[in-house]
Amino acid sequence: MIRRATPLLAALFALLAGCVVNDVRPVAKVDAVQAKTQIAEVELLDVAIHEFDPGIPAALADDVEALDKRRIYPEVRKAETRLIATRLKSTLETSGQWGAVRVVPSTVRFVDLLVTGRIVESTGMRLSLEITASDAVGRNWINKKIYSGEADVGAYKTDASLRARDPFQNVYAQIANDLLQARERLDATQRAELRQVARLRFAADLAPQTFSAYLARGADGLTHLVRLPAENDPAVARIDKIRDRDAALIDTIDGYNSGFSEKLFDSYGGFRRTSRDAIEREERVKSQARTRTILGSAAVLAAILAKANCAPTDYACQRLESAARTAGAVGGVAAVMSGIKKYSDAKVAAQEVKELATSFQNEATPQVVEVEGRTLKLTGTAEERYREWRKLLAGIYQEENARPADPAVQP
Amino acid sequence: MTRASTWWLAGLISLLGGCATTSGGLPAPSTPTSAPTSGGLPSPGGDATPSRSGSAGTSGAGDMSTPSASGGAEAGTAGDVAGAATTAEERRGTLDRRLDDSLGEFDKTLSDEQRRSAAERDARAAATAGSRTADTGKDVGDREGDLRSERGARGAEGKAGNETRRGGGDRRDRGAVTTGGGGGAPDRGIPSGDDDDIVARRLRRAAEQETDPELKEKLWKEYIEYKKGSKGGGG
Repeated sequence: MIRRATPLLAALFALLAGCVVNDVRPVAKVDAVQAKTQIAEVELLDVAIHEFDPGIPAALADDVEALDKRRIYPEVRKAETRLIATRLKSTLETSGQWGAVRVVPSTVRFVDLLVTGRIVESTGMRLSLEITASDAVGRNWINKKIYSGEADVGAYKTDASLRARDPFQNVYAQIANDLLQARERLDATQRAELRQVARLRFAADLAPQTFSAYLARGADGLTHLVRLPAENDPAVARIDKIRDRDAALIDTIDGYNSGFSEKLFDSYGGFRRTSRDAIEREERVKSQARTRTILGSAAVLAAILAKANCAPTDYACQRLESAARTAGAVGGVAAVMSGIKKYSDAKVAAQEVKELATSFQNEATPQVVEVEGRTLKLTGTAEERYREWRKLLAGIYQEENARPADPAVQP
Repeated sequence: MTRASTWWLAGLISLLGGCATTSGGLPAPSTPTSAPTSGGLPSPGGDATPSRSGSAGTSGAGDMSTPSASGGAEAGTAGDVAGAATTAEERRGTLDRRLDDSLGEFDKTLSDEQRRSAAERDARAAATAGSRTADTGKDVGDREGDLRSERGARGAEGKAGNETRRGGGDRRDRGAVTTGGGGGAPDRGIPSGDDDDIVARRLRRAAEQETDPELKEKLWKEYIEYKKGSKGGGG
């Protein structure tokens, strides 16, 4: 009997000790594939990344408690719509595989490649993004694919390492590599056509009378080039002038986003790092609490319900059994108590995560308001200008195509 | 005096004769003849003004999913701009000038914004670097995240994007910015970068490329600490 009781007790004690292994596995690093050769200018695609969707479930938008439980802090998410998009932009840019890569508002449409994203989960511990990418022709490169990854703890080590490599660089690199793979599926002619289509779609938006005929939608649902306008066409020159301004506008807005990202770089990194620690602590403590409560309860139950196996005359065995029961019951109760204590520790850690988020929120919100305000002001001005330019281009088109008056009709 | 009274009389007669052109406050006589339409006076050179009722805006637009197909209606307003010119060529010239002026005004708006952004970026960089001198701000444009300072400066000259197609002029050949670093590592106990992992490599490169001595020193320190940490099995 003793033999039987010993391993049981040993196992019980080992488990009750809360021996939860907290392994921080090193994350294998993924890097964006770097361009090894110079890409021809005509094939170098420009990329616009829309500010991400914050991914706040509509059903929970007003339920702060439910959002807290999911570690969704709306103001933090609002900042992340730009911060995360900017990180992806940096990854694409440094890969050398793309032309101009910009973070822009969702109103920007006529670019070679458009990337949109939704934040599914974003904590200091884990990042999950839903990404869609489509080109000017209408091809879907990536369709609502989820990219997820655990934080690379090495990046949290120091401020400099945080600056050197984002903790979720793997996620960005995977997206970059998938985009690259999709691009590689296009041949040089398709890439060149794509650029021309983007250019002409922009032109057709401004001067449909002049440029719509150059493009047509095929049976495949994609926009194709019908023919190219003459390069010395004054209408093309006018559109190019406007497109230059459009590019400068996009650059300016992208500059706002970069500035915003730069301003919050350290505090966002710090927030992620400390919130990761707090989340990790919370999860570890929760896990310990769960284990202790379950095993403690089991020990108590075992102590009560275990059958007596000693012979009625074997007093030594009975004494030992009774001692084991008592020890099991006492240990079990202690473990349950300890579990309860751990649950309260987990609550404290959860509260800490929330406080960290609030603190970052307080710092980020004024910056979000500022960058949004500036962007809206500038895009508002640009909208007015575009309306004006559309009218002027339509007027010029009319004048260019006006039939000369028939002298015979003159009075 | 006689002249004045003659004019008076003529005016009176014309009014009594029911020569109403609707502009007056009097009710128009019911004579169905010669009733002029709105505006009263015929537009000067009205015949020469091309009709802007919008036949132009529709051709071929069906092929594309262009959001704005209202070109014809807009053309009417734009045409008014050039209303004073007599020939189509002149009117087109006027519209072209209007377009250029409008683009120029927009350039000003953009360059003001870019200048402001560049100033903020420089101020931020100076604050980060601590006690930097005024001229060190220009170094910052070479670091990631400060990509636009060059463009900002260019925009401030009122040439926003004139040189190139969209963004192309400012594109840097990022392919060149890959791994490895040149010299720049001062010889004071800095470990060799042979066994660097990606973080260490980036740190090393940042330190090598930094031009501000104070910041450079800090980066090297971070690099050394990181290397020590990673060798210590901190993982």
